[in-house]
Amino acid sequence: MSTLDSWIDRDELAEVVGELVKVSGPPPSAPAMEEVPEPEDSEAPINDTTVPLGLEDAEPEVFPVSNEGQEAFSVGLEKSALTETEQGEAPLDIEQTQVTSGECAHSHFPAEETAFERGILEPETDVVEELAEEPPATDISHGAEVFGSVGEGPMAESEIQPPSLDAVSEEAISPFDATSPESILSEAEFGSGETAQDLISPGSAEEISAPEAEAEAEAEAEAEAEAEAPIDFDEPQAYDASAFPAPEEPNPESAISPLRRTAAFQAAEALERARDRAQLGGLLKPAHSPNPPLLDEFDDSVLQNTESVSEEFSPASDVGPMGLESESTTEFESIEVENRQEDLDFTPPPFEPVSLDEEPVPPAPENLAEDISTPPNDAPPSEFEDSGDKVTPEELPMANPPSPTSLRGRLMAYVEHARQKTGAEIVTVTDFQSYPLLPGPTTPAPAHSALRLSHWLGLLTAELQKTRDGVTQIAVDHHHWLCVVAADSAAGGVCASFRLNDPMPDDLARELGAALRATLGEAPKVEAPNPPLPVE
Amino acid sequence: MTTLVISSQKGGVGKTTVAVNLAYSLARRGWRVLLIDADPQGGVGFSLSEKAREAKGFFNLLDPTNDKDPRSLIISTRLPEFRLMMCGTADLLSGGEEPQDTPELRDQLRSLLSQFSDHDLIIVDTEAGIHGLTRAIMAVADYLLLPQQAEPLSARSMPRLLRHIAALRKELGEDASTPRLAGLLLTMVNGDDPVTGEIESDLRGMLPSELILESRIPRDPTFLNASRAGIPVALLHRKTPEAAESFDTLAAEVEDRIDLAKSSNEQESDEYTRLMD
Repeated sequence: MSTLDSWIDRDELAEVVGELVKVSGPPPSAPAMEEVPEPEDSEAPINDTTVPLGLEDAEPEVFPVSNEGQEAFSVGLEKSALTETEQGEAPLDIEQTQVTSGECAHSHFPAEETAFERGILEPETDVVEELAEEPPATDISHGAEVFGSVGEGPMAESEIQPPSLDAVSEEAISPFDATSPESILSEAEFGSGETAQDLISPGSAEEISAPEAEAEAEAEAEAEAEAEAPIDFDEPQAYDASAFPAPEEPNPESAISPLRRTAAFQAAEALERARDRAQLGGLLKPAHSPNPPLLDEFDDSVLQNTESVSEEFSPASDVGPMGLESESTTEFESIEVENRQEDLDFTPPPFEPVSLDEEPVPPAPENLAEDISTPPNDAPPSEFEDSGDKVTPEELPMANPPSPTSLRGRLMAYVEHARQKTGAEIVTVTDFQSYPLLPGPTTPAPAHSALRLSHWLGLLTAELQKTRDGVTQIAVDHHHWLCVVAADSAAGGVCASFRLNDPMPDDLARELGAALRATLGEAPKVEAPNPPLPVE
Repeated sequence: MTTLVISSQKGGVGKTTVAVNLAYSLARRGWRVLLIDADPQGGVGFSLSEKAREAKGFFNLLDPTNDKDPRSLIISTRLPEFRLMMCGTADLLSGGEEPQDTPELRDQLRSLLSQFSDHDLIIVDTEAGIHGLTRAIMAVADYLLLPQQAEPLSARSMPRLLRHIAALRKELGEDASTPRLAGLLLTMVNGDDPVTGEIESDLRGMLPSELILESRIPRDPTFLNASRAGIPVALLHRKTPEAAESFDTLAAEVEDRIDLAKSSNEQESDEYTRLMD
């Protein structure tokens, strides 16, 4: 019993949910739901000889466990595997978790049982003989589809083999998740003491001769009619848990059921797609919206919102670390950063603009005074394209090298510079979440992650001992070394790893680290590699 | 351009926190995001700047006497992709009375939002309750994101919230393609509290996965610290706080649920077509 049961009218909720599911997510161009094939025999007559086994009709429709089942259901069945019609018509009541297996067996096939009791239905011998002749192939198809719909989508019949069904059932069913519909489903299909493997085992089926099978089927029918002792699904020990192999390291106290894990897989897939998009340039700003340099101190309370904010919104006062600013002031601030860097006697490495200067960038003023004398941009402050860039096919992401003023362009210039300096075979640039920021060959993710971990540990050591900058490199085999350099900024961190034939000298690693920080717009840090950020 | 409205019937479920941090996370992923504060309380502004209360913004644009260019009220941040529009001075509007959800207001909102079409995503933070202006905003939105506190009282009111959404959809007609549901987002999830876990489990059991996001926002003091500092939680420390990672996950999921890539591509394609013409 759910704690919300007494507060929420499930019938009403199911009605509302049914309406809203149709309008959730992106518009229906994604046809995942519609592509699920409708089982051919979902409307099979009740004297279909395959019915008593339950595997062929493992559709949600055939499990109206009770007439009260106009519910939002779906504790477990993946909604994406159901058509809208099915969602509307085939609710599974979460309260059905308290129905005993005997009730399930009766209620799932009431018509069949009535027919059986009256002697109309004579499936036993036929079914057993069918099993003996064609053990698993046809009988698992729809059952496997149901399992497949719970897991990874519908399977082709040709792909379905007994071991795979076994594997799927092992993965999807947990005895610790007694309230999940799979448990009900499995109970209903296989009986509390049977497993899918029991039903599809060729060996067991072949051993049954026809007369014996008839007698055995009668005995089974009697047993089924009498039913076993009621099983309380809320009590995991009350039924034969061995029929449902536990997943690895089950956690009975976990609120996340295996089906939620399935949803988690979907989320992981979504993340993977996002990551793919990132590799295609989605992580970074499109080429037509240049990314001005980021400031080194984001809590620097300078607001220059003179154009876009009302007069009362005084820019000179405290504006918070977000540093609200107007569009037209970013140029000033970037120049300010450059001058600050000059004051620190730091010269950014000479980037190689050979392939990147197709879009000429106006030269920066020599000093701030000169820049201030330049009239501000008159364009509306809210236009992303106010630099004059327009979208053309060549400027779309990945079409051509982006503008050197964008972060991506600067990173590409950095990679080119570093590659020339080090002779590295592979230079991988990622953010701190390991999203590759640039296309091209990358260091294998595990090696990169391990190296980053080593790098942070090295930084920690350097931070404590104050002896040197952290230079992290490891030999990955007899001929190659990996070295990682990281830089952080207000907009996020970036890692660059280099695959080299020889260890990178410390001074070169430091230089590349400073160059990467400069690439991100961060002021060079000479002492502590990563000073903690004070939070006021 | 896609419009995502963050709303809930109950107050204090974390709408503004979600709005600010989700907008920031999406902007970090490269999307041009405009966060509009349509809550008269001005939560967004107060989350980021003390002076925000004096800035003109969204409510000023709804004032019939307004002569400001809407784009001039957009405030840039140091993350160029992340832009803000404060709530403005709400008491200027209709003598301080709450606007009613009328067809005229919806038209005005559509017209207003269309002027920000150079953004990939407009996130609108609304006040609690689904009525008046908030309802009108929801009616003209593309997607709705509904923060839902993982606590008993909030969970019990969930069906009522969904009924309101369904009623709004019904009013707009079956042919209306929007607003669509991005989903319910569980917030303030306390992993150590069995009650919270039970509520989360119940809600996920009741609702199909299309209606409830896999991501969840934990209850974490980091959010308070970030709010006090006036920054998105991701900026609180140089090393991304764990709480901020939940918003990165959320951003990835929302991006997928509202198919932001597709809408952005369509927008770029339109711009390209326009240029070619």
